[in-house]
Amino acid sequence: MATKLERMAGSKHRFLLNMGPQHPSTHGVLRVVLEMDGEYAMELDPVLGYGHRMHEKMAEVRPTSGFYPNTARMDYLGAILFSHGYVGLLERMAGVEVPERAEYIRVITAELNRISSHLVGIGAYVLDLGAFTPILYAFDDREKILDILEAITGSRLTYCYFRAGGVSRDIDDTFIRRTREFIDRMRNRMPMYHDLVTDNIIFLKRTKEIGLIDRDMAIRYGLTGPVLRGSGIAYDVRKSEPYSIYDRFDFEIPTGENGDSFDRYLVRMEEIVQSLRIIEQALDALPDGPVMAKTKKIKLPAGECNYTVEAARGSLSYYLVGDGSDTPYRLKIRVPSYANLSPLPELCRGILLSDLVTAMGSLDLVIPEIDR
Amino acid sequence: MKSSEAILKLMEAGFQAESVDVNGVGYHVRAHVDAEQVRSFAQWLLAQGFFIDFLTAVDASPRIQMIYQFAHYDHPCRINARVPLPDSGAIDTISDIYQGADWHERETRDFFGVHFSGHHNLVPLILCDEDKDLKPLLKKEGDRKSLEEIGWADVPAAD
Repeated sequence: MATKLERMAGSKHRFLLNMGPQHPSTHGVLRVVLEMDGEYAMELDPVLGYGHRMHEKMAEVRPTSGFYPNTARMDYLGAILFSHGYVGLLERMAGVEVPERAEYIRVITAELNRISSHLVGIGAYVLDLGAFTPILYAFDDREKILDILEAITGSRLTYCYFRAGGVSRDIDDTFIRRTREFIDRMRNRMPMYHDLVTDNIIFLKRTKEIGLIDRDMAIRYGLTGPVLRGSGIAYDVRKSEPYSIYDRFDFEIPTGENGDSFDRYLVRMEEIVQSLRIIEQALDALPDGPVMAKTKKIKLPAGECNYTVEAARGSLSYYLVGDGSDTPYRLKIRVPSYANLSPLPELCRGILLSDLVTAMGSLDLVIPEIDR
Repeated sequence: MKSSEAILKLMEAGFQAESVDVNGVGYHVRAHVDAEQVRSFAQWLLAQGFFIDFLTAVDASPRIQMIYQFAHYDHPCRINARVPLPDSGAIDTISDIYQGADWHERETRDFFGVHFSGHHNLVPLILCDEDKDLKPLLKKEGDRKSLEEIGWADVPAAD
């Protein structure tokens, strides 16, 4: 039965709603302007730039080594992965050979970082949907990774560990022992996560068939990462354009079937298992030797260079134009969340506000990365 | 599509393309596209199943260079195209072909002041309203390098 207010408003009672910039489910300073019809979001307009720091300009005014800390401050959940792309770019441009041991250490720490990022992604996602317990378990496991990485890199979140030519510090036996312990621990915890979340009927009802992405939409928006792979497209830069030493490891690219929010969640869960496999293989094959090449000051030749890596949220490209000095003439950073957020207006047109939270959360956005 | 196949098809479709060392520059195919061709270039890429990686600009003299990069989900084939911006400071939008280009174009307008003709909503994206004409990534006079100085002089002239 229509209430008195509804009768007064009649059929035309659309209104504008601001979701954010401070909204718990945007996980950062993102504002989405919604045109609502009752509980349905009819039009969406994301507003970006609240956390814009102009990293690309900062790169143009300092020598390349001065930009290492910046890379970690874009995607604060996958900082090592962002550093990986940047040092890879410098090495490709300046022709620096990286010692074998350093490459293995990079893969191990990068995959650990990917797992910790996915744990936050999954934990926070389920929290958005109203389940409070899983994030506590996820943070417990993530804490182990942060401890392992803190001992070796000196920081817990915004790592500045990779250098052009290697890594800043060698790993020790304690690191290896703790990492192996973590692999066992995490493998034992996976069934618990599946019991707690994957098989949870409320979670299934909330995420199945919500936020469907197909191949056509992925191409038009340039989607990558788990958001893409949930739709059954096995595109992973680690496989398609192998960088570092990823071609030496045996791992699979998990994909979903339906391209809905549930599949994107499941892909992240499976990727944790695959990352554990990579870390285990890298630890087994870890060679001895130096961890830093003897490099002179990096000079960037005139010309352009692109370096693409698989960050936690998808394909990350650094594109640099050099002018023969040690300072980039132009550095473009193509971040995955930027493209992954862009289909939101098309993805969520006409759905319930609560489903909008589901669909947006399944994109696993990191807003400082989008704003740069 | 392999990169050699992509080059052949690009040439057939009337674009200039060459193979480059992927370990040197990080992409497989370099395409030379005129400003009038960007829309047909984007339509061709969409028909071949390429996804948009990014779109940006580089400020150099005598004119700004637009950079378009595309890649493919099924094959390692990354295509990079550099397009000199016409003197009018405007270039056709591709945001109706690749919807993902919408934000990249708005960002390029923010940072470089490039106008995208036909864009449905060319308003500031990253910068706030007060700074919408700041164009922070344009080089100051004196800092702007020529194409020779940034290694881009060897490109053949389009016929």
